[in-house]
Amino acid sequence: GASSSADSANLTRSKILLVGQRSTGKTSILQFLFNNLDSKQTFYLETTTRVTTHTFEYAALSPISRFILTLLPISTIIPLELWDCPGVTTIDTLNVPLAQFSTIVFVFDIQHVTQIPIVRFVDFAAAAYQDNPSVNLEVFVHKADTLSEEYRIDSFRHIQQRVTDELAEIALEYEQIPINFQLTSIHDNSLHEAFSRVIHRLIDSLPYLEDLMNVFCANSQSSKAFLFDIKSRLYVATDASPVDTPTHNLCSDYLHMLSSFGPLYRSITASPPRHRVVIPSPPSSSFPSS
Amino acid sequence: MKKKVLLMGASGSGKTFLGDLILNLWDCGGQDAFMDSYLSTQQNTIFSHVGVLIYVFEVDSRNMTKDLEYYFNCLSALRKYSPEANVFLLVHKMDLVKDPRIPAQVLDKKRGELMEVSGDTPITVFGTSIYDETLYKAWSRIVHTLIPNASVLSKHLTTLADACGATEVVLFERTTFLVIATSSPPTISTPPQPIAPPTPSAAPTLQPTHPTSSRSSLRNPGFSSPPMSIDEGSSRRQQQSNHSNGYLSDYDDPTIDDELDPHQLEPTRYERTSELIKAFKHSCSRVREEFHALEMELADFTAVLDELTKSTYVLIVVHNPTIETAALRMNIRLARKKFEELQGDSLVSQS
Ligand SMILES: Nc1nc2c(ncn2[C@@H]2O[C@H](COP(=O)(O)OP(=O)(O)OP(=O)(O)O)[C@@H](O)[C@H]2O)c(=O)[nH]1
Ligand SMILES: Nc1nc2c(ncn2[C@@H]2O[C@H](COP(=O)(O)OP(=O)(O)O)[C@@H](O)[C@H]2O)c(=O)[nH]1
Ligand SMILES: [Mg+2]
Repeated sequence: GASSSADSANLTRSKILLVGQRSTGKTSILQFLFNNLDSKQTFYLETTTRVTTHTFEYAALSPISRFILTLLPISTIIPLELWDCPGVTTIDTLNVPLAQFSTIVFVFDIQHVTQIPIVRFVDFAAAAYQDNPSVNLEVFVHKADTLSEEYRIDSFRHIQQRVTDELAEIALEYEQIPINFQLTSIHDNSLHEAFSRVIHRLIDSLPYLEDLMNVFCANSQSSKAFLFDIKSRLYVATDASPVDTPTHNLCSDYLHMLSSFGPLYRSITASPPRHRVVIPSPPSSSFPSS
Repeated sequence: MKKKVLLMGASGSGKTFLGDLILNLWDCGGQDAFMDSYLSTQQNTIFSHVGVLIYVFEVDSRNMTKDLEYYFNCLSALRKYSPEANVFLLVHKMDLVKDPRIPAQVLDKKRGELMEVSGDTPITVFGTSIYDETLYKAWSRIVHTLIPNASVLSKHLTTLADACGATEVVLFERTTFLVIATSSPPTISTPPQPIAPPTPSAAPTLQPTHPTSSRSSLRNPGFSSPPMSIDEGSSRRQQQSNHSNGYLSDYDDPTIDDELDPHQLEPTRYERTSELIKAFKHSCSRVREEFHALEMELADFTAVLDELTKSTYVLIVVHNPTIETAALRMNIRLARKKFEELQGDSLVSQS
């Protein structure tokens, strides 16, 4: 395990590649999730012209259950490296082996799902799977807000079907490649829920965290518990009961409200000593003893 | 007899938008809202028993001369039938003035014009827009003047703040979350004492104490309903001579020095609080949950937001980490009766 003095440069980060046609919303997704960019402001994002990497780590974790939030003084680190690509990026122009990525997120704009992006995705998926059969293949059918409920579901099913068909064209066994499809939008909480699921597949300790959440629910008689990363509002784990989207939305909104409240009543004189109280002093054994 | 509020202004000036707000607001005042866009022949019915006239002007009205003429006629009628009414003028759609330096000048010019037309009737002019917090502030100020004993409320909120060891106590109207009154800010800038971390083994105490307060908190363990007098000698809060309320002195008043407030909390906190709570209430309603109260223990402060009276919410913000939210809630519970009484005195119709 990483010691508390670990230099972040030495960490092995899970690499996540975001690909998709131009203007499908890749940069918006990253900025919205990790930079607190308001969904309306994504309108002003410029087209991405070269591959850009962003690093991100989970810091303070806080469990929410039935609207009780506790700041845990622990610092679990799930180091991520997110790669944002221009729309034209191909496996060749990427210049790094696909096997380096633990996850590939392919973004479709639900309004423009033509043969071209489908074929492109299938090429990526097949190549990535060949290099590394345990790669996580994720599809975000994005901008779901632009279609009415009925069309949205139809086109979502349609995309899944066409992807499976195209893969079977290449090789019959490719039909079995596991791919996770999700409907997303930056105008609601769906992207947070979707990306949380992406992260779950990267957390080795997930079964233990889930067990803890189960125990927590049982002992506190909570109907549902999420372990959230405060800053990104992604949930790291939840108990075994199924996630129902409205409950997830409410918890996510609640966390958002609390984080927005924080700066409003911060006192320039009274807050600093309070900080000193809240931050736990590091146990003396945390320094490397070599 | 209930007093009414008149909301007037040329068509297209934005009254419908404002009206939604004021109707809500009126639930709190227990009076009738009344809207009209033009002077009717039944002047006496419209202009009798008016408590407040709110007149809306568009900042770049194409026909200001005509607007002023209408306004002048309304004001004359108002002076005849309800000479005691308060007059508030909104210069609305300020967002349409693009240059960031200009709005203040534009507003000053309008204010001059309006004062001239208004003669000796005292008026209060606000520049507003639905796109920022200005409208919220204007409404809060109007609500504040509509409550005859706002200064008394403020005094009692200060007492509640002292009892809780709170930095600030804010009273909000229940539906709109407009600020009605706040406690006055503490003055004595006692250098923050490094507060000992709460010992986990210590039994939680329901009795709030404020270590930096010179007043013994044991004398006033909760918040009691009998007449509360602020102990002039030892109150750690600002003695308000001409300013009855901390909230009012927050802006527009150059005589109050912000430096006096040792905490210097975010100036837009009330509007932001209102937005945040309303948004969260909306989230709750989507899952058919009802919003009742909120307890927050954040890195910077502890806060409780809870129902105080039938038409108000109270927010108590505490920076002392040793004070438990349970203690704050108990004080709110104990304060309820007193505030219902106070509100009964003020908001029930005057006959
Ligand atoms: N309606 C809707 N629009 C979105 C959503 N997400 C992103 N957009 C819009 O889609 C447009 C393109 O977004 P970008 O993030 O620049 O897309 P990109 O995939 O990074 O584009 P390239 O860098 O050119 O490849 C912007 O105008 C966004 O505002 C969404 O969920 N719904
Ligand atoms: N730019 C701007 N437009 C506003 C503002 N308030 C209202 N409006 C617009 O003004 C128009 C007229 O408003 P309305 O309330 O119907 O006016 P009424 O005839 O006085 O009731 C509407 O199109 C509103 O969108 C504001 O603060 N700024
Ligand atoms: Mg981009």
